[in-house]
Amino acid sequence: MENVLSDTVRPALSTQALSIAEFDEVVRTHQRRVYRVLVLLVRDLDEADTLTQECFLRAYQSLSRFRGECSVQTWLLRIAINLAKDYARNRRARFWKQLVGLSTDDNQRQTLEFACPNPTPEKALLVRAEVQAVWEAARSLSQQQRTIFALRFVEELELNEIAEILGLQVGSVKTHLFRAVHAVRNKLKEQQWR
Amino acid sequence: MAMSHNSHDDRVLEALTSRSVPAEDHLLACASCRAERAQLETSLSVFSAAAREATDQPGHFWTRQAAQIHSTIAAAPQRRLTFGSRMTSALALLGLFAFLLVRAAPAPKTSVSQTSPNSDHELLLAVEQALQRDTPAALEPVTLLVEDMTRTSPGDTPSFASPSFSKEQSRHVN
Repeated sequence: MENVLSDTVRPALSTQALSIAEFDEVVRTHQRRVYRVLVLLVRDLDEADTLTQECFLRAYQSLSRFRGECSVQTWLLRIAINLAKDYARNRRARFWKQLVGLSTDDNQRQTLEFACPNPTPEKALLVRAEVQAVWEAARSLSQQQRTIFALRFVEELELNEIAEILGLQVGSVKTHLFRAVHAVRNKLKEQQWR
Repeated sequence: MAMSHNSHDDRVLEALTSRSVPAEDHLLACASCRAERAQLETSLSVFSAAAREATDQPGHFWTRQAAQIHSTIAAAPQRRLTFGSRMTSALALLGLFAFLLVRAAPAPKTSVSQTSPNSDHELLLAVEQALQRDTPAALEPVTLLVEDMTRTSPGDTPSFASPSFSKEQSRHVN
């Protein structure tokens, strides 16, 4: 289970006197979660890897600005989510470039594929369809709603933690989550009717 | 009181997203809503497990990623500044800016009211002297010449060394 930074490392972070070796411990503790959130947001394994590295680099370079008012996990996820937003913006720009023939991106990157956790073929098919329906519904959400959905139901964060990461009121997080779950439920119902 | 279908749906979503007390109370009394919440929770937990599995990587992936982060940080220039050094550089920049601002500013123009009273007084004296003189200032060189000539003895021939003084003029004087 991933924990928030231990008490021995946290004071060192807040006093900005963290060596690279000590920061390695922060990386090892949080890299899985940061990577997972980024995969869910950018839907590209290679890009998520690159952005995870970028996230930790930025975190190290801005250690002096970390005042310890939130947990290291919250701080890192905030950086990761901002990077994902930038990535989405750049991707939109790339799309338009491709459309007008300015870029020749080959789109051969490794995209997210859901493996079925259930071994029985029949059940596997059902579960796969169910997961796919949720995933498709999540894809149709806005960036903000998808982020909140992933943080709540994949990372299992509390509403106040999500609000802190995104700099929103808890009420706003609830509203976004309500709409996201509404969309997911509708998609699941559609799938059941097929 | 009968609730609409949408109200039931909303209660289920509320219970799932924010676990509000009224929604939970409703679910205690409504079996169909309880079943729907359970079904949705199952779907979401299946999705969560699948997402975790899909993003899970072998040990060497994490080791390689951590090593790359380490090497990038080690290679990156140190941009971490202490508070003291930041303040010093900020003050130095501020000082330089102020210096440049002062240098670039135009010299203040002295207004009439700022001129010294001495210059006024001197000007007044000069005017008075000019008025007291018999000759205008423009003819002053000629006056001086005449004075010079009268100062010399009447029998002496004045020496006109100046080349501008023509022979004809000298004859006329004699």
